[in-house]
Amino acid sequence: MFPIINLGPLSIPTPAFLLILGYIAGSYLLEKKSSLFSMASEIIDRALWIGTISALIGARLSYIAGAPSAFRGNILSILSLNPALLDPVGGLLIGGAAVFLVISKQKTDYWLFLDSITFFLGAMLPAFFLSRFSAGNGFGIPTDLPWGVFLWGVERHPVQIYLTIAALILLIIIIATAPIKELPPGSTFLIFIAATFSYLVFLTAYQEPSNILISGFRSGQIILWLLLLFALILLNFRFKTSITKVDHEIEK
Amino acid sequence: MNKKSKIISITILMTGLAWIWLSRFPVDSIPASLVEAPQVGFSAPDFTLPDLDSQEISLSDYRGSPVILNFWASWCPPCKAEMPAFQKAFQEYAGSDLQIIAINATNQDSIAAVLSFTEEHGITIPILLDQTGFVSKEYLVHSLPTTYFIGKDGTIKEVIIGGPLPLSLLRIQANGLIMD
Repeated sequence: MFPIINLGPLSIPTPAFLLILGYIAGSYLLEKKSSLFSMASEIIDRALWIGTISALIGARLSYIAGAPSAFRGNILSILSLNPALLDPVGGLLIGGAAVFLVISKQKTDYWLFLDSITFFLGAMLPAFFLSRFSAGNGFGIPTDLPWGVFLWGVERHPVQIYLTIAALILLIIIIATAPIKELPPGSTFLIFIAATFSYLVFLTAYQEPSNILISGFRSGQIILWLLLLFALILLNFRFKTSITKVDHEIEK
Repeated sequence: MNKKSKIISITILMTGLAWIWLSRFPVDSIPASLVEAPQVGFSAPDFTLPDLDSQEISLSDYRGSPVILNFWASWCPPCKAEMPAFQKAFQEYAGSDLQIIAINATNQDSIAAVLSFTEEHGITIPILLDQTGFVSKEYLVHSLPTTYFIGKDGTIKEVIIGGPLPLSLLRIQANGLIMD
């Protein structure tokens, strides 16, 4: 755990620093790889910028909306630079909606856009897991294994490191193989999402659970499995519609 | 392609279900809230420190009440910037059982500077003096200010590293702790 990098008088919060590095790496990959899916990099750039700014504003607005009375007599704190005043879920929803609007306006194929941003998400995920590791969050269950890390009183599974390795392997596979020509648009994104939920279902078993249901089931694992199910249904649906489309074209 | 992908999907889903069953959490495990560690979900480590009147105060004295624990120093600009917000919150929540405690990193500060700062800014929050730096070390305080939000049961609910924290954030956290 290393939440702060102290450089002389400068204290850099490591989790935020890692997320920024992930964002830069993701943007670079996005720019380089978007042409593989016949996407204009300007559209991707615009969507990314508008999405990021909207997500930040949305996260702050969502936080304020949660308890507007707390800002009574302290209205200027709305502009506070403190990231603790951000609601990540609200930010993601508003940022996602903004990206959707940009893409709709450009009349771009949503599936091709999702395929393109797979590279961005692929680079962000390892950075996200590393940032959690640096903050000491999402820590593992106790272990006797030699690679256990001493955290919060005992040797624990470095579960965020497992997740980082899994995310990096997936990123390398995606970079090396995408796009697969025989697969319909959207497949790269959906395969990436399904693979991510698959390793999450597997590896979160080594994480100290935050919420336990009856008989020791982890609620997080069940939610991840349901998301995996949804991603696989969508993927199969994409395959089915693309085959039907090809059949129709042959008939014509 | 479609049939093959269906078989793969079903295999992945069934393997996932089997893994969820196999990796169930042992019901006899010790919950994190019973272990002392300076992390969200764990029990806040207990300590005893003197205040400015040399009276010994322990965190365990406040068990049953929510506590906001702020680590600070008089030379640290964000600590000084956020102290008025803490003072305001201290006054606003005086009628509730919420406790606000400021732990001065006295091993990197001086009592004279602390007294001068509190007098100058009218700070009446209980200030504890960590003269050896033991409590800061125990709470893994890497940077000042650092604030811990502790629930009535003594479990750490939130940790915020850095500042200045605005009054609105303190109100939101305080209300959450009181209602918890």
